[in-house]
Amino acid sequence: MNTKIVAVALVAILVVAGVAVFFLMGGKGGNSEDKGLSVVGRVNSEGSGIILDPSQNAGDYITVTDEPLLGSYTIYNEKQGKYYNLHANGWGGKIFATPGTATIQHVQLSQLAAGMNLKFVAYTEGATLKADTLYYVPSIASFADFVNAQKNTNLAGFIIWEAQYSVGVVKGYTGLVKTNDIFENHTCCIIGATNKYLNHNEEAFVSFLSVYVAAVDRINAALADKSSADYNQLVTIAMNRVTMPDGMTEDEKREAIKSALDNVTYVYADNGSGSLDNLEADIASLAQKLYDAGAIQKTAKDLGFKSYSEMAEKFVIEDYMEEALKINDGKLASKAVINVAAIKGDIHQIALWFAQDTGMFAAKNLDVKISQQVNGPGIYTQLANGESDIGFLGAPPMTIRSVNGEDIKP
Amino acid sequence: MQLFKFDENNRTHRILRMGAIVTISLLAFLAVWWIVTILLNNVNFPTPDKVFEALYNLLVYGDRMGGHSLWEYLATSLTTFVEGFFMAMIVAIPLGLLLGYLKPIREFITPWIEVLRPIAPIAWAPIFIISFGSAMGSALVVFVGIVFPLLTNIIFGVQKIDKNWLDASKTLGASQGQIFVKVVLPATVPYILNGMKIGLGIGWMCIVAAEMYKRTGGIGQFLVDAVNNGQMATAFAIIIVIAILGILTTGVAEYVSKVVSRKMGMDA
Amino acid sequence: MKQEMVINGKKYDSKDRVRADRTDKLYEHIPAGEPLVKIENLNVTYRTDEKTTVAVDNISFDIKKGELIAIVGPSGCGKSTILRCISGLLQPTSGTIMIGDKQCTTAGSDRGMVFQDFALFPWRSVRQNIQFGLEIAGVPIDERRERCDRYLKAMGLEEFGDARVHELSGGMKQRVGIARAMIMHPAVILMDEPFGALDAQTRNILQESLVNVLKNSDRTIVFVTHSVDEALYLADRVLILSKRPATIHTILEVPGERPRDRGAPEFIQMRKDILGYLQSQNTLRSPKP
Repeated sequence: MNTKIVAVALVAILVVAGVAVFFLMGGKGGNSEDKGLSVVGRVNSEGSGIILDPSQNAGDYITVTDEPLLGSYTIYNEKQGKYYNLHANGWGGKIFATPGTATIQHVQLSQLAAGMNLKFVAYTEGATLKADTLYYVPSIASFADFVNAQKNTNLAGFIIWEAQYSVGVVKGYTGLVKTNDIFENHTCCIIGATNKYLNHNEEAFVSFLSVYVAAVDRINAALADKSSADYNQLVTIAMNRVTMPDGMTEDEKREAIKSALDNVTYVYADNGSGSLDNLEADIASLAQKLYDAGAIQKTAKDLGFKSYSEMAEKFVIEDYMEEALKINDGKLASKAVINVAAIKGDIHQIALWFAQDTGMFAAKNLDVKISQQVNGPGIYTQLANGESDIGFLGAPPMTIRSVNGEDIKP
Repeated sequence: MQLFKFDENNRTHRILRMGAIVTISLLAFLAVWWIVTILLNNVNFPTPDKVFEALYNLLVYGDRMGGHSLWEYLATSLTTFVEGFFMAMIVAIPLGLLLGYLKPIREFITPWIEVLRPIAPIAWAPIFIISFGSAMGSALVVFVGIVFPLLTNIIFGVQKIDKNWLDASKTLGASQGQIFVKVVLPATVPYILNGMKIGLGIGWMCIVAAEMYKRTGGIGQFLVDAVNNGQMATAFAIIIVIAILGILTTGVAEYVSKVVSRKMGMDA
Repeated sequence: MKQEMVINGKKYDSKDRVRADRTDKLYEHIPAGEPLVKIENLNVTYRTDEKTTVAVDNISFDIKKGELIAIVGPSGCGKSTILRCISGLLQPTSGTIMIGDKQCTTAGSDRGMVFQDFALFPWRSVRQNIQFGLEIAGVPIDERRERCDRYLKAMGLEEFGDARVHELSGGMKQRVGIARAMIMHPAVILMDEPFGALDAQTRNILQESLVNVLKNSDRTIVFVTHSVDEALYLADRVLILSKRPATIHTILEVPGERPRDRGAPEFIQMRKDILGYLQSQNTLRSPKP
């Protein structure tokens, strides 16, 4: 063992490692204040549903009664004054498709399973189906995908966001239940942003938000008055922007879109004054649930907070929304470019497209570039690597990835 | 300075030396990895201790989110892998022998092979999985990955057969069929084994990649889910598991290949 | 001429590859010393894009039953080519080679061959190598084993029956090669510089082995060699070829029964004459094969 050779070898290894690190670190430096992500607004609540394969009998899964049925998992719908009874023996041993393990739909299905005391487990082909378990197949993000997947796997149903739920119904599948019915007012999509962008572009961002708020208001007005020009425009824009499978006639598409629009509640905050306190509480409890389920692997302490509640306080920022609601004319002096990431073909986020396609952003000198991703994790990736400043994504993926990725800074 | 008189001819000494070198090398690797992750300070590149913790959790608890143990995922992946492997063997061995032996057919079929071979096996995954189902589809991806190197090796092997053996068997009266069975087949065995060894490595890559697309079970899907949820330490741990499996399978193949070659007296 | 042969009850025509053992029985009717193999006007010409090379030019000679005829000639003159034509592994450009009244157009077990680089099958043991031809001919297992044991003994390979080929030295490998060819009792045995890859001492030992074997059985052997000494030691007749394109210079009868005294005076003169001729044929620029 020649010591000279050993020394040279060690030096070589260190040099190689150093060079690699140098290249990888290039551009990673910067102000620590600018690191991390925040939640700055709501996008919608409700607006998803479960469809069943035509071979399935809806009554096996859920029955709706005036009085709660004993022996089933009951959910009370205040608005309707009805009880939704979920029957474990109908759901047990079945396979359902979800859009992905980090999505809100997946989380909701897991909550239903938990309520029925069923295990919620990934389906592996060739497995024997047990009656005490509800199985899932993830990453199915559209009705077309679902139909394809059915060729290989015996899927009983599909929990998915609008407009895919309505597309399924129009195509003859059974609409079992909407999440609006069993998860009233549930948080769905939110607006996330990089702290780096927020810290340096307050004016542009507030302007963006004010336009967004105006779009949401117009949409809600249009939904209230279906004879309005705005409503027609809304439907047209939705038909362009929402993915629908081949083989649907124009009429079928229109029917699905209209039904979908009715099922989603478009919002921007908890209430008209821009408060996000409820959202904050939602996210804190969501984080805990997801940690228990194994999706989130880091505790609040790992991120430097005493609890998830404290973490949510830092994570959710109301200030920009409150500012946006105050200003009337958010027109900027000079053009500002904003990079937004949105989920492809998702009708929850239609307000963004409405604002874009009707020129509302341009009118305020905002050059909004929208990049489309397949799902929530895709949006998060855009935010995390800085290619997008703002993202429209579900609360669960935002929370899971931001906690696991330590993007919430104390 | 000599602490230890190393005797080249002593088998124990050789094994110990090999073991020492490998251990030191791996420790150095670990050290470099640690340093790099600390310098990078990026949550997506966890330090080795976090990865090993995740690995431990993996081995003991499996996938809490999906509700399966690691072994179940591995069993699914392995089953599909073995299916694809056998399909490749059944096709490549006879076809390879035929093509190696008969020049006109080889010349005719070679363009087909040259056109299909460069297509990355994983590119076939969506088509196969949609057309033939998740299980058969991913097995077919493995098949495509293994069949080409295996085929090429066998064709090469047949052409490399010592002409003297063929001449000798003719002068001993062997018919074409007898030459094929008694000379060509045994002579090609080392090449078949070598092709298998290469194919196994590629096959692993294919099964993992195909499962990322397949969504119904297997170690590849587990990996994708972990990444989608930002569980980077777990993802790295899964990658380590996959790597170890790859090393094991290729190692076994290498060993079998060596033993058989030696028994057949065809070491070169 | 479509010739038909019946060997061990099986019919073969001249196009078939002969697969039987003991093909020497076919030619029992030919008395010793009479021509067994007739080579007439043998011509082998190679044509490439650049040029035409005549390797063997109009050679005619007979191989007599029971003789050992050696073929010597300058390097690259085409000795092996002639042998390969007789064996059927190579087709001549023109001319005929007949064994008895059958043409030698395909290889078969009636013309066995021993190769310079042994051509043993490495995946088979020594025994299995020797028995290869018997397997091909469909000889039953017991008979195969019994005959193989006899040959192992005759070639001094008794302890190596189950050895692997790579464990053997060069000399032993060739013994296996010879046993493998001889066990088939072919009508003719063709030996293509069989001892060329061996060192001088092993060579001598193997020559003596061969002489020993010939003492106890009648074989017809065509023996190609570079070594004049070897030819004179082993052969009944020596056919001397000119340089390429090969023609027959002369055929010499070698006097004396085997085993011969290498140092005997008559051989010294013959050796001198043959070497002298070969020297004259080997110009400084030997023709490239």
